[in-house]
Amino acid sequence: MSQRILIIDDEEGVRDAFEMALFDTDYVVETAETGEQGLEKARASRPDLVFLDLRMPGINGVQTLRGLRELYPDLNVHIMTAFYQQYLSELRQANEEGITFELSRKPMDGSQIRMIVNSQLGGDVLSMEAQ
Amino acid sequence: MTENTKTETGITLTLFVSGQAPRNQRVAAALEGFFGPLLQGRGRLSVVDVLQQPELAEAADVIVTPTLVASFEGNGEKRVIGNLADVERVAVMLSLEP
Repeated sequence: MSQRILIIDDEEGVRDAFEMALFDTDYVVETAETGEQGLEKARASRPDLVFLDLRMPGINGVQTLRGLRELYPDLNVHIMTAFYQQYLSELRQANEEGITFELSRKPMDGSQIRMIVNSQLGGDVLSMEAQ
Repeated sequence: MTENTKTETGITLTLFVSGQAPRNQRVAAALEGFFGPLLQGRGRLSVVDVLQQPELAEAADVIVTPTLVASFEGNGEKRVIGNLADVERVAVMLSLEP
């Protein structure tokens, strides 16, 4: 069965980038433009990997993450954000409460997206050059 | 990089993780256990929590957690991502087999 990837990001360009990067792969890619929509899609069909934007209108990334964790405690969730101190304060708080996640730095190009997805879903160790 | 160079070269392993999740601690412990003997007298393993020190991850051009960066003194670096608990596979990918 194909592995499912869910992209939750209010920016169409980001959603398109993931779809284009993973177009010719065996992964099933779903997208959502809001946290609420993302939770609906996750509830309807459990994804294998989620990429979740941190800063969105409506319910934000951390609130969406909490919702995903209630649905699936062990779900592999990558928060997409720039690595700036001021963006991470809410994530630090969530982590202190025991909510776990990985981080993917925005922006990512197509080859980075493919490499990260393959590393997360393939169970292997992949070599990555400094960007 | 020649084999002789590798045996004498200083090595720094830096593990970039997201927070203090038990799985991150397990990966760090597994890497320490496997590479500890190799690093003795030559280098060390350090762990960077990107949530606490994002500027270090930014400076190192880390784009995903977890990432393990192996810096070889005077001989560049290699970096790996993915299932870093598979320490034997990590060693192969970093050309650091004991």
